[in-house]
Amino acid sequence: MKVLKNLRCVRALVVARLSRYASESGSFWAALIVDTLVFFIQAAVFWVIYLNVDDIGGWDKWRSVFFVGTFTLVDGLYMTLYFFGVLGIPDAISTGRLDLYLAKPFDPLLHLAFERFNPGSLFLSLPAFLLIAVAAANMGAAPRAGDVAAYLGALSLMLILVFDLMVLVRVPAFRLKRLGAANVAEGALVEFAFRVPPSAYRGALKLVFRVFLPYGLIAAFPTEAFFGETGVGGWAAAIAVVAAFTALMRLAWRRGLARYESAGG
Amino acid sequence: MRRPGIYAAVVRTAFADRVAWRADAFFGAFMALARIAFAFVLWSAIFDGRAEVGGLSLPVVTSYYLVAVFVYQIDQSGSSAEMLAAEIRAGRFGAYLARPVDPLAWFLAASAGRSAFQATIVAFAAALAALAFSLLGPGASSLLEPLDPAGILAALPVLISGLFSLGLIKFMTAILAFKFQDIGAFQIAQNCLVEFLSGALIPLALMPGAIRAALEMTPFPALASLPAELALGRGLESLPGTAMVLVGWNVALYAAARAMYASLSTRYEEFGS
Repeated sequence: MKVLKNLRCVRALVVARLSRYASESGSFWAALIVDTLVFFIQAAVFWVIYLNVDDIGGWDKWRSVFFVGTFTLVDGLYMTLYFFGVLGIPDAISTGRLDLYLAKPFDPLLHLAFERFNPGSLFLSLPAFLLIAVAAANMGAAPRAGDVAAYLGALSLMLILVFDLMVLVRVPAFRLKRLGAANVAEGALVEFAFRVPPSAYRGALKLVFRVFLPYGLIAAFPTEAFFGETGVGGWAAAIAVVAAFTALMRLAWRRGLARYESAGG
Repeated sequence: MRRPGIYAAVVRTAFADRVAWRADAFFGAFMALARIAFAFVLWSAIFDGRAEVGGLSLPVVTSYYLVAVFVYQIDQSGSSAEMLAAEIRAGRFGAYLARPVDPLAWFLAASAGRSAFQATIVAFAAALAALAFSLLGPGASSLLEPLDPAGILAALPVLISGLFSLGLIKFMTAILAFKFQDIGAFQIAQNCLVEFLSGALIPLALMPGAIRAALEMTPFPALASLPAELALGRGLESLPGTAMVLVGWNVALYAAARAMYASLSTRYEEFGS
Protein backbone atom coordinates (compact mmCIF):
# COMPACT_ATOMS: atom_id res chain seq x y z
CA MET A 1 0.00 0.00 0.00
CA LYS A 2 2.83 2.36 0.93
CA VAL A 3 4.57 1.62 -2.38
CA LEU A 4 1.37 2.38 -4.33
CA LYS A 5 0.90 5.62 -2.42
CA ASN A 6 4.51 6.63 -3.15
CA LEU A 7 4.03 5.83 -6.85
CA ARG A 8 0.87 7.99 -6.97
CA CYS A 9 2.81 10.85 -5.38
CA VAL A 10 5.66 10.44 -7.92
CA ARG A 11 3.06 10.61 -10.74
CA ALA A 12 1.58 13.79 -9.26
CA LEU A 13 5.05 15.38 -9.06
CA VAL A 14 5.75 14.51 -12.70
CA VAL A 15 2.44 16.00 -13.86
CA ALA A 16 3.07 19.18 -11.84
CA ARG A 17 6.54 19.46 -13.29
CA LEU A 18 5.30 19.02 -16.86
CA SER A 19 2.76 21.81 -16.33
CA ARG A 20 5.51 24.09 -15.08
CA TYR A 21 7.77 23.27 -18.03
CA ALA A 22 5.02 24.19 -20.45
CA SER A 23 5.37 27.76 -19.15
CA GLU A 24 9.21 27.79 -18.98
CA SER A 25 10.34 27.06 -22.52
CA GLY A 26 13.78 28.65 -21.88
CA SER A 27 14.84 26.03 -19.31
CA PHE A 28 13.37 23.30 -21.49
CA TRP A 29 15.47 24.25 -24.53
CA ALA A 30 18.59 24.84 -22.43
CA ALA A 31 18.40 21.31 -21.03
CA LEU A 32 17.78 19.84 -24.46
CA ILE A 33 20.67 21.72 -26.11
CA VAL A 34 23.15 20.86 -23.35
CA ASP A 35 22.23 17.18 -23.33
CA THR A 36 22.41 16.93 -27.10
CA LEU A 37 25.80 18.62 -27.07
CA VAL A 38 27.13 16.08 -24.56
CA PHE A 39 25.86 13.31 -26.81
CA PHE A 40 27.47 14.80 -29.93
CA ILE A 41 30.82 15.19 -28.20
CA GLN A 42 30.75 11.58 -27.06
CA ALA A 43 29.86 10.48 -30.60
CA ALA A 44 32.75 12.60 -31.89
CA VAL A 45 35.22 10.92 -29.49
CA PHE A 46 34.29 7.46 -30.79
CA TRP A 47 34.26 8.74 -34.38
CA VAL A 48 37.88 9.94 -34.00
CA ILE A 49 38.96 6.62 -32.43
CA TYR A 50 37.35 4.55 -35.20
CA LEU A 51 38.95 6.75 -37.85
CA ASN A 52 42.21 5.19 -36.69
CA VAL A 53 41.29 1.60 -35.67
CA ASP A 54 38.77 -1.06 -36.71
CA ASP A 55 37.99 -2.44 -33.24
CA ILE A 56 38.43 -1.82 -29.51
CA GLY A 57 39.11 -5.05 -27.63
CA GLY A 58 37.16 -6.98 -30.27
CA TRP A 59 34.21 -4.55 -30.40
CA ASP A 60 33.70 -3.13 -33.87
CA LYS A 61 32.40 0.32 -34.68
CA TRP A 62 28.72 -0.66 -34.66
CA ARG A 63 28.85 -2.51 -31.36
CA SER A 64 30.43 0.59 -29.81
CA VAL A 65 27.79 2.79 -31.46
CA PHE A 66 25.09 0.57 -29.91
CA PHE A 67 26.86 0.91 -26.54
CA VAL A 68 27.04 4.71 -26.82
CA GLY A 69 23.39 4.81 -27.92
CA THR A 70 22.43 2.74 -24.88
CA PHE A 71 24.37 4.96 -22.52
CA THR A 72 22.80 8.02 -24.11
CA LEU A 73 19.36 6.44 -23.59
CA VAL A 74 20.05 5.62 -19.93
CA ASP A 75 21.49 9.12 -19.49
CA GLY A 76 18.43 10.75 -21.07
CA LEU A 77 16.05 8.67 -18.95
CA TYR A 78 17.72 9.27 -15.60
CA MET A 79 18.19 12.94 -16.33
CA THR A 80 14.49 13.10 -17.13
CA LEU A 81 13.38 11.19 -14.07
CA TYR A 82 15.52 12.02 -11.05
CA PHE A 83 18.96 13.45 -11.88
CA PHE A 84 18.22 17.10 -11.03
CA GLY A 85 16.21 16.14 -7.96
CA VAL A 86 18.98 13.97 -6.51
CA LEU A 87 21.49 16.74 -7.25
CA GLY A 88 19.47 18.97 -4.91
CA ILE A 89 19.71 16.61 -1.92
CA PRO A 90 22.87 18.15 -0.33
CA ASP A 91 21.32 21.62 -0.59
CA ALA A 92 18.08 20.39 1.00
CA ILE A 93 20.08 18.94 3.89
CA SER A 94 22.41 21.90 4.46
CA THR A 95 19.66 24.54 4.30
CA GLY A 96 17.17 22.59 6.38
CA ARG A 97 14.74 22.42 3.41
CA LEU A 98 14.54 18.68 4.08
CA ASP A 99 12.22 19.53 7.01
CA LEU A 100 9.46 20.28 4.52
CA TYR A 101 9.80 16.84 2.94
CA LEU A 102 9.90 15.01 6.25
CA ALA A 103 6.65 16.66 7.26
CA LYS A 104 4.78 15.33 4.23
CA PRO A 105 3.08 11.90 4.04
CA PHE A 106 5.37 10.73 1.21
CA ASP A 107 8.80 9.11 1.10
CA PRO A 108 11.12 12.17 1.43
CA LEU A 109 13.83 10.68 -0.77
CA LEU A 110 11.44 9.94 -3.62
CA HIS A 111 9.87 13.37 -3.20
CA LEU A 112 13.25 15.11 -3.45
CA ALA A 113 14.35 12.94 -6.37
CA PHE A 114 11.27 13.28 -8.57
CA GLU A 115 10.23 16.85 -7.85
CA ARG A 116 12.63 18.11 -10.53
CA PHE A 117 11.43 15.85 -13.32
CA ASN A 118 13.03 17.25 -16.49
CA PRO A 119 11.22 16.48 -19.77
CA GLY A 120 13.87 18.37 -21.81
CA SER A 121 16.27 15.48 -21.28
CA LEU A 122 13.75 13.00 -22.70
CA PHE A 123 14.53 14.36 -26.16
CA LEU A 124 18.00 12.89 -25.74
CA SER A 125 16.27 9.55 -26.29
CA LEU A 126 15.65 10.45 -29.94
CA PRO A 127 19.32 10.47 -31.07
CA ALA A 128 19.85 7.48 -28.75
CA PHE A 129 17.15 5.47 -30.52
CA LEU A 130 18.61 6.53 -33.86
CA LEU A 131 22.09 5.33 -32.83
CA ILE A 132 20.73 2.05 -31.50
CA ALA A 133 18.64 1.39 -34.63
CA VAL A 134 21.47 2.28 -37.05
CA ALA A 135 23.96 0.12 -35.13
CA ALA A 136 21.59 -2.87 -34.96
CA ALA A 137 20.83 -2.56 -38.68
CA ASN A 138 24.51 -2.39 -39.63
CA MET A 139 25.31 -5.40 -37.46
CA GLY A 140 22.62 -7.38 -39.28
CA ALA A 141 20.81 -7.92 -35.99
CA ALA A 142 17.14 -8.84 -36.35
CA PRO A 143 15.90 -8.39 -32.78
CA ARG A 144 13.23 -10.74 -31.50
CA ALA A 145 10.62 -9.72 -28.96
CA GLY A 146 12.62 -11.53 -26.27
CA ASP A 147 15.75 -9.48 -27.05
CA VAL A 148 13.83 -6.23 -26.83
CA ALA A 149 12.15 -7.33 -23.58
CA ALA A 150 15.54 -8.30 -22.11
CA TYR A 151 16.96 -4.93 -23.20
CA LEU A 152 14.10 -3.00 -21.60
CA GLY A 153 14.35 -5.09 -18.41
CA ALA A 154 18.10 -4.45 -18.23
CA LEU A 155 17.56 -0.71 -18.84
CA SER A 156 15.05 -0.53 -15.97
CA LEU A 157 17.45 -2.36 -13.70
CA MET A 158 20.24 0.06 -14.59
CA LEU A 159 18.01 3.08 -13.90
CA ILE A 160 17.54 1.76 -10.36
CA LEU A 161 21.29 1.20 -10.04
CA VAL A 162 22.13 4.74 -11.20
CA PHE A 163 19.59 6.11 -8.68
CA ASP A 164 21.25 4.11 -5.88
CA LEU A 165 24.73 5.27 -6.88
CA MET A 166 23.70 8.92 -7.15
CA VAL A 167 22.03 8.91 -3.73
CA LEU A 168 24.99 7.11 -2.11
CA VAL A 169 27.34 9.84 -3.36
CA ARG A 170 25.11 12.53 -1.79
CA VAL A 171 24.21 10.91 1.53
CA PRO A 172 27.52 12.10 3.11
CA ALA A 173 25.94 15.60 3.00
CA PHE A 174 24.36 14.64 6.34
CA ARG A 175 27.90 14.75 7.81
CA LEU A 176 29.97 16.92 5.45
CA LYS A 177 29.50 20.55 4.44
CA ARG A 178 30.95 20.17 0.93
CA LEU A 179 30.69 17.31 -1.51
CA GLY A 180 32.70 18.84 -4.35
CA ALA A 181 35.27 16.07 -4.34
CA ALA A 182 32.64 13.33 -4.32
CA ASN A 183 30.90 15.01 -7.25
CA VAL A 184 34.17 15.12 -9.17
CA ALA A 185 34.74 11.42 -8.45
CA GLU A 186 31.24 10.53 -9.57
CA GLY A 187 31.59 12.60 -12.73
CA ALA A 188 34.84 10.86 -13.64
CA LEU A 189 33.36 7.39 -13.02
CA VAL A 190 30.23 8.10 -15.07
CA GLU A 191 32.30 9.67 -17.81
CA PHE A 192 34.54 6.68 -18.19
CA ALA A 193 31.61 4.29 -17.91
CA PHE A 194 30.52 5.49 -21.33
CA ARG A 195 33.92 6.39 -22.76
CA VAL A 196 35.41 2.95 -22.10
CA PRO A 197 33.53 0.07 -23.74
CA PRO A 198 33.27 -3.05 -21.53
CA SER A 199 35.49 -4.99 -23.91
CA ALA A 200 38.41 -2.94 -22.58
CA TYR A 201 37.97 -4.11 -18.95
CA ARG A 202 39.87 -7.26 -18.11
CA GLY A 203 40.61 -9.35 -15.00
CA ALA A 204 40.27 -7.51 -11.70
CA LEU A 205 39.11 -4.34 -13.43
CA LYS A 206 36.06 -6.19 -14.67
CA LEU A 207 35.20 -7.20 -11.10
CA VAL A 208 35.76 -3.67 -9.79
CA PHE A 209 33.65 -1.91 -12.41
CA ARG A 210 30.86 -4.45 -12.55
CA VAL A 211 30.49 -5.27 -8.85
CA PHE A 212 32.16 -2.88 -6.39
CA LEU A 213 31.91 0.34 -8.44
CA PRO A 214 29.29 -0.90 -10.91
CA TYR A 215 29.41 2.11 -13.23
CA GLY A 216 30.76 -0.29 -15.86
CA LEU A 217 27.41 -2.13 -15.86
CA ILE A 218 25.25 0.88 -16.76
CA ALA A 219 25.41 0.64 -20.56
CA ALA A 220 27.26 -2.67 -20.86
CA PHE A 221 24.57 -4.85 -19.29
CA PRO A 222 21.65 -3.70 -21.50
CA THR A 223 23.91 -4.00 -24.58
CA GLU A 224 24.87 -7.55 -23.63
CA ALA A 225 21.24 -8.38 -22.81
CA PHE A 226 20.11 -7.20 -26.25
CA PHE A 227 22.67 -9.42 -27.99
CA GLY A 228 21.78 -12.41 -25.77
CA GLU A 229 25.23 -12.53 -24.12
CA THR A 230 24.13 -12.35 -20.48
CA GLY A 231 22.68 -15.78 -19.68
CA VAL A 232 21.00 -16.70 -16.40
CA GLY A 233 24.23 -16.17 -14.43
CA GLY A 234 24.69 -12.67 -15.86
CA TRP A 235 21.14 -11.69 -14.96
CA ALA A 236 21.47 -13.14 -11.46
CA ALA A 237 24.73 -11.23 -10.91
CA ALA A 238 23.27 -7.95 -12.18
CA ILE A 239 20.12 -8.32 -10.06
CA ALA A 240 22.25 -9.17 -7.01
CA VAL A 241 24.43 -6.08 -7.53
CA VAL A 242 21.39 -3.80 -7.93
CA ALA A 243 19.66 -5.34 -4.89
CA ALA A 244 22.80 -4.94 -2.77
CA PHE A 245 23.27 -1.29 -3.78
CA THR A 246 19.57 -0.55 -3.22
CA ALA A 247 19.76 -2.00 0.30
CA LEU A 248 23.00 -0.09 0.97
CA MET A 249 21.48 3.14 -0.31
CA ARG A 250 18.35 2.80 1.88
CA LEU A 251 20.49 1.98 4.91
CA ALA A 252 22.79 4.96 4.31
CA TRP A 253 19.80 7.29 3.80
CA ARG A 254 18.12 6.11 7.03
CA ARG A 255 21.34 6.52 9.00
CA GLY A 256 21.76 9.98 7.52
CA LEU A 257 18.21 10.93 8.50
CA ALA A 258 18.91 9.73 12.05
CA ARG A 259 21.77 12.26 12.24
CA TYR A 260 19.81 15.08 10.61
CA GLU A 261 19.25 17.99 12.99
CA SER A 262 16.87 20.03 10.82
CA ALA A 263 16.94 23.79 10.28
CA GLY A 264 16.55 24.65 13.94
CA GLY A 265 19.30 22.30 15.13
CA MET B 1 43.18 48.81 -13.57
CA ARG B 2 44.16 50.12 -10.15
CA ARG B 3 47.33 49.39 -8.11
CA PRO B 4 48.84 45.99 -9.02
CA GLY B 5 49.64 45.36 -5.33
CA ILE B 6 45.94 44.93 -4.66
CA TYR B 7 45.71 42.12 -7.20
CA ALA B 8 48.80 40.43 -5.77
CA ALA B 9 46.90 40.37 -2.46
CA VAL B 10 43.87 38.86 -4.26
CA VAL B 11 46.12 36.14 -5.73
CA ARG B 12 47.57 35.36 -2.28
CA THR B 13 44.13 35.31 -0.64
CA ALA B 14 42.71 33.01 -3.31
CA PHE B 15 45.73 30.70 -2.90
CA ALA B 16 45.22 30.65 0.89
CA ASP B 17 41.51 29.98 0.41
CA ARG B 18 42.33 26.88 -1.64
CA VAL B 19 44.74 25.74 1.07
CA ALA B 20 41.80 25.88 3.49
CA TRP B 21 39.82 23.62 1.12
CA ARG B 22 42.84 21.48 0.22
CA ALA B 23 40.91 18.21 0.51
CA ASP B 24 38.96 19.18 -2.63
CA ALA B 25 42.17 19.93 -4.50
CA PHE B 26 43.83 16.68 -3.42
CA PHE B 27 40.76 14.72 -4.38
CA GLY B 28 40.64 16.48 -7.75
CA ALA B 29 44.25 15.49 -8.35
CA PHE B 30 43.47 11.94 -7.27
CA MET B 31 40.66 11.83 -9.81
CA ALA B 32 43.09 13.04 -12.46
CA LEU B 33 45.14 9.94 -11.58
CA ALA B 34 42.00 7.86 -12.06
CA ARG B 35 41.41 9.49 -15.45
CA ILE B 36 44.93 8.60 -16.52
CA ALA B 37 44.35 5.01 -15.39
CA PHE B 38 41.05 4.82 -17.29
CA ALA B 39 42.64 6.30 -20.42
CA PHE B 40 45.38 3.71 -20.12
CA VAL B 41 42.78 0.92 -19.87
CA LEU B 42 40.97 2.19 -22.97
CA TRP B 43 44.09 2.75 -25.03
CA SER B 44 45.62 -0.58 -24.01
CA ALA B 45 42.52 -2.21 -25.53
CA ILE B 46 42.77 0.01 -28.62
CA PHE B 47 46.46 -0.83 -29.06
CA ASP B 48 45.84 -4.56 -28.53
CA GLY B 49 48.19 -6.17 -31.09
CA ARG B 50 48.96 -2.83 -32.81
CA ALA B 51 52.36 -1.11 -32.72
CA GLU B 52 50.92 2.30 -33.63
CA VAL B 53 47.55 4.04 -33.91
CA GLY B 54 47.42 7.16 -36.07
CA GLY B 55 51.22 7.30 -35.99
CA LEU B 56 51.34 7.24 -32.17
CA SER B 57 52.72 4.42 -30.00
CA LEU B 58 51.17 3.40 -26.65
CA PRO B 59 53.98 5.06 -24.61
CA VAL B 60 53.48 8.29 -26.56
CA VAL B 61 49.70 8.19 -25.99
CA THR B 62 50.17 7.39 -22.27
CA SER B 63 52.64 10.26 -21.85
CA TYR B 64 50.30 12.52 -23.82
CA TYR B 65 47.42 11.78 -21.44
CA LEU B 66 49.68 12.06 -18.42
CA VAL B 67 50.54 15.65 -19.35
CA ALA B 68 47.26 16.67 -21.02
CA VAL B 69 44.90 15.42 -18.30
CA PHE B 70 46.92 16.98 -15.49
CA VAL B 71 47.48 20.25 -17.30
CA TYR B 72 43.76 20.47 -18.06
CA GLN B 73 43.01 20.12 -14.32
CA ILE B 74 44.97 23.27 -13.44
CA ASP B 75 42.37 25.83 -14.51
CA GLN B 76 40.18 26.96 -11.61
CA SER B 77 38.48 29.91 -13.29
CA GLY B 78 35.32 27.78 -13.47
CA SER B 79 34.84 28.01 -9.69
CA SER B 80 35.47 31.77 -9.80
CA ALA B 81 32.86 32.04 -12.57
CA GLU B 82 30.29 30.08 -10.60
CA MET B 83 30.85 32.29 -7.56
CA LEU B 84 30.65 35.52 -9.57
CA ALA B 85 27.46 34.43 -11.36
CA ALA B 86 25.84 33.41 -8.04
CA GLU B 87 26.73 36.79 -6.50
CA ILE B 88 25.26 38.67 -9.45
CA ARG B 89 22.00 36.71 -9.26
CA ALA B 90 21.81 37.03 -5.46
CA GLY B 91 22.25 40.82 -5.62
CA ARG B 92 25.65 40.78 -3.90
CA PHE B 93 27.62 42.15 -6.85
CA GLY B 94 27.46 45.63 -5.27
CA ALA B 95 30.35 44.56 -3.03
CA TYR B 96 32.63 44.50 -6.11
CA LEU B 97 31.54 47.99 -7.06
CA ALA B 98 32.34 49.25 -3.57
CA ARG B 99 35.78 47.61 -3.42
CA PRO B 100 38.79 49.41 -4.93
CA VAL B 101 39.16 46.70 -7.59
CA ASP B 102 38.28 46.23 -11.22
CA PRO B 103 35.88 43.21 -11.44
CA LEU B 104 37.65 41.62 -14.46
CA ALA B 105 41.11 42.05 -12.93
CA TRP B 106 39.80 40.71 -9.61
CA PHE B 107 38.30 37.69 -11.38
CA LEU B 108 41.56 36.92 -13.22
CA ALA B 109 43.66 37.42 -10.08
CA ALA B 110 41.42 35.17 -7.95
CA SER B 111 41.45 32.51 -10.69
CA ALA B 112 45.25 32.77 -10.91
CA GLY B 113 45.60 32.22 -7.14
CA ARG B 114 43.31 29.20 -7.14
CA SER B 115 44.95 27.76 -10.27
CA ALA B 116 48.43 28.25 -8.78
CA PHE B 117 47.49 26.13 -5.78
CA GLN B 118 45.89 23.51 -8.03
CA ALA B 119 49.05 23.46 -10.18
CA THR B 120 51.21 22.52 -7.18
CA ILE B 121 48.88 19.64 -6.28
CA VAL B 122 48.64 18.54 -9.91
CA ALA B 123 52.43 18.57 -10.35
CA PHE B 124 52.80 16.32 -7.31
CA ALA B 125 50.12 13.91 -8.58
CA ALA B 126 51.63 13.88 -12.09
CA ALA B 127 55.02 12.96 -10.64
CA LEU B 128 53.37 10.11 -8.70
CA ALA B 129 51.59 8.88 -11.82
CA ALA B 130 54.80 9.02 -13.87
CA LEU B 131 56.59 7.03 -11.17
CA ALA B 132 53.80 4.42 -11.11
CA PHE B 133 53.87 3.99 -14.88
CA SER B 134 57.67 3.74 -14.90
CA LEU B 135 57.49 0.97 -12.29
CA LEU B 136 54.74 -0.83 -14.22
CA GLY B 137 56.82 -0.96 -17.42
CA PRO B 138 57.78 -4.50 -18.34
CA GLY B 139 61.53 -4.85 -17.94
CA ALA B 140 63.60 -2.08 -19.44
CA SER B 141 60.89 -0.80 -21.78
CA SER B 142 58.85 1.83 -19.94
CA LEU B 143 55.20 2.53 -20.60
CA LEU B 144 56.11 6.21 -20.90
CA GLU B 145 57.84 8.20 -23.61
CA PRO B 146 60.60 10.37 -22.06
CA LEU B 147 59.67 14.06 -21.84
CA ASP B 148 61.80 16.79 -23.41
CA PRO B 149 63.04 19.43 -20.87
CA ALA B 150 63.21 22.14 -23.55
CA GLY B 151 59.68 21.24 -24.60
CA ILE B 152 58.43 21.47 -21.00
CA LEU B 153 59.92 24.97 -20.71
CA ALA B 154 58.27 25.97 -23.99
CA ALA B 155 54.95 24.52 -22.81
CA LEU B 156 54.77 26.79 -19.73
CA PRO B 157 54.11 30.15 -21.48
CA VAL B 158 51.76 28.38 -23.91
CA LEU B 159 49.77 26.97 -20.99
CA ILE B 160 49.66 30.31 -19.14
CA SER B 161 48.46 31.98 -22.31
CA GLY B 162 45.75 29.33 -22.75
CA LEU B 163 44.66 29.71 -19.12
CA PHE B 164 44.39 33.48 -19.61
CA SER B 165 42.14 32.95 -22.65
CA LEU B 166 39.98 30.45 -20.78
CA GLY B 167 39.72 32.81 -17.79
CA LEU B 168 38.41 35.55 -20.09
CA ILE B 169 35.89 33.16 -21.67
CA LYS B 170 34.69 32.03 -18.24
CA PHE B 171 34.36 35.65 -17.10
CA MET B 172 32.18 36.40 -20.12
CA THR B 173 30.05 33.34 -19.37
CA ALA B 174 29.72 34.35 -15.71
CA ILE B 175 28.54 37.89 -16.47
CA LEU B 176 25.77 36.47 -18.65
CA ALA B 177 24.12 36.23 -15.20
CA PHE B 178 23.38 39.97 -15.59
CA LYS B 179 20.97 38.97 -18.33
CA PHE B 180 19.89 35.38 -17.68
CA GLN B 181 18.34 33.80 -14.60
CA ASP B 182 20.31 30.56 -14.91
CA ILE B 183 23.62 30.28 -16.75
CA GLY B 184 24.28 26.66 -15.72
CA ALA B 185 23.52 25.43 -19.24
CA PHE B 186 26.05 27.86 -20.76
CA GLN B 187 28.70 26.70 -18.29
CA ILE B 188 28.11 22.98 -18.87
CA ALA B 189 28.07 23.44 -22.65
CA GLN B 190 31.26 25.47 -22.50
CA ASN B 191 33.04 22.92 -20.29
CA CYS B 192 32.10 20.04 -22.62
CA LEU B 193 33.22 21.89 -25.73
CA VAL B 194 36.49 23.16 -24.27
CA GLU B 195 37.43 19.71 -22.94
CA PHE B 196 36.94 18.17 -26.38
CA LEU B 197 38.53 21.01 -28.37
CA SER B 198 41.56 21.18 -26.05
CA GLY B 199 42.52 17.58 -26.72
CA ALA B 200 42.05 16.50 -23.09
CA LEU B 201 39.58 13.83 -24.20
CA ILE B 202 41.38 12.54 -27.26
CA PRO B 203 44.72 13.47 -28.85
CA LEU B 204 44.10 16.10 -31.53
CA ALA B 205 46.81 14.36 -33.60
CA LEU B 206 44.28 11.59 -34.31
CA MET B 207 41.79 13.99 -35.88
CA PRO B 208 41.57 14.59 -39.64
CA GLY B 209 44.11 17.16 -40.91
CA ALA B 210 41.58 19.88 -41.78
CA ILE B 211 39.95 19.80 -38.32
CA ARG B 212 43.36 19.78 -36.65
CA ALA B 213 44.45 22.80 -38.70
CA ALA B 214 41.26 24.66 -37.78
CA LEU B 215 41.72 23.89 -34.07
CA GLU B 216 45.31 25.13 -34.20
CA MET B 217 43.89 28.56 -34.96
CA THR B 218 41.98 28.59 -31.64
CA PRO B 219 43.29 29.02 -28.06
CA PHE B 220 41.86 25.70 -26.84
CA PRO B 221 44.76 23.32 -27.69
CA ALA B 222 46.95 25.47 -25.42
CA LEU B 223 45.00 24.04 -22.46
CA ALA B 224 46.00 20.40 -22.98
CA SER B 225 47.12 19.21 -26.41
CA LEU B 226 49.84 21.79 -27.15
CA PRO B 227 51.58 21.55 -23.73
CA ALA B 228 51.47 17.74 -23.96
CA GLU B 229 52.92 17.67 -27.49
CA LEU B 230 55.59 20.25 -26.62
CA ALA B 231 56.56 18.26 -23.51
CA LEU B 232 56.97 15.24 -25.78
CA GLY B 233 59.34 17.31 -27.96
CA ARG B 234 56.86 17.75 -30.81
CA GLY B 235 55.85 20.99 -32.50
CA LEU B 236 58.70 23.13 -31.11
CA GLU B 237 59.38 24.46 -34.62
CA SER B 238 55.87 25.92 -34.91
CA LEU B 239 56.06 27.69 -31.53
CA PRO B 240 56.40 31.27 -32.91
CA GLY B 241 53.24 30.86 -35.00
CA THR B 242 51.41 29.32 -32.05
CA ALA B 243 52.49 32.20 -29.80
CA MET B 244 51.17 34.76 -32.29
CA VAL B 245 47.80 33.00 -32.49
CA LEU B 246 47.52 32.89 -28.70
CA VAL B 247 48.50 36.54 -28.20
CA GLY B 248 45.97 37.53 -30.87
CA TRP B 249 43.21 35.58 -29.11
CA ASN B 250 44.11 36.99 -25.71
CA VAL B 251 43.93 40.57 -26.99
CA ALA B 252 40.63 39.90 -28.79
CA LEU B 253 39.07 38.10 -25.83
CA TYR B 254 40.21 40.81 -23.39
CA ALA B 255 38.60 43.49 -25.55
CA ALA B 256 35.44 41.36 -25.87
CA ALA B 257 35.29 40.81 -22.08
CA ARG B 258 35.63 44.56 -21.42
CA ALA B 259 32.96 45.41 -24.00
CA MET B 260 30.60 42.72 -22.68
CA TYR B 261 31.01 43.87 -19.08
CA ALA B 262 30.38 47.49 -20.06
CA SER B 263 27.25 46.43 -21.91
CA LEU B 264 25.77 43.95 -19.42
CA SER B 265 26.68 45.49 -16.06
CA THR B 266 24.23 48.35 -16.69
CA ARG B 267 21.44 45.80 -16.21
CA TYR B 268 22.49 45.07 -12.64
CA GLU B 269 19.90 45.70 -9.97
CA GLU B 270 19.84 44.75 -6.33
CA PHE B 271 17.57 45.23 -3.37
CA GLY B 272 16.70 48.86 -2.97
CA SER B 273 18.05 50.02 -6.34
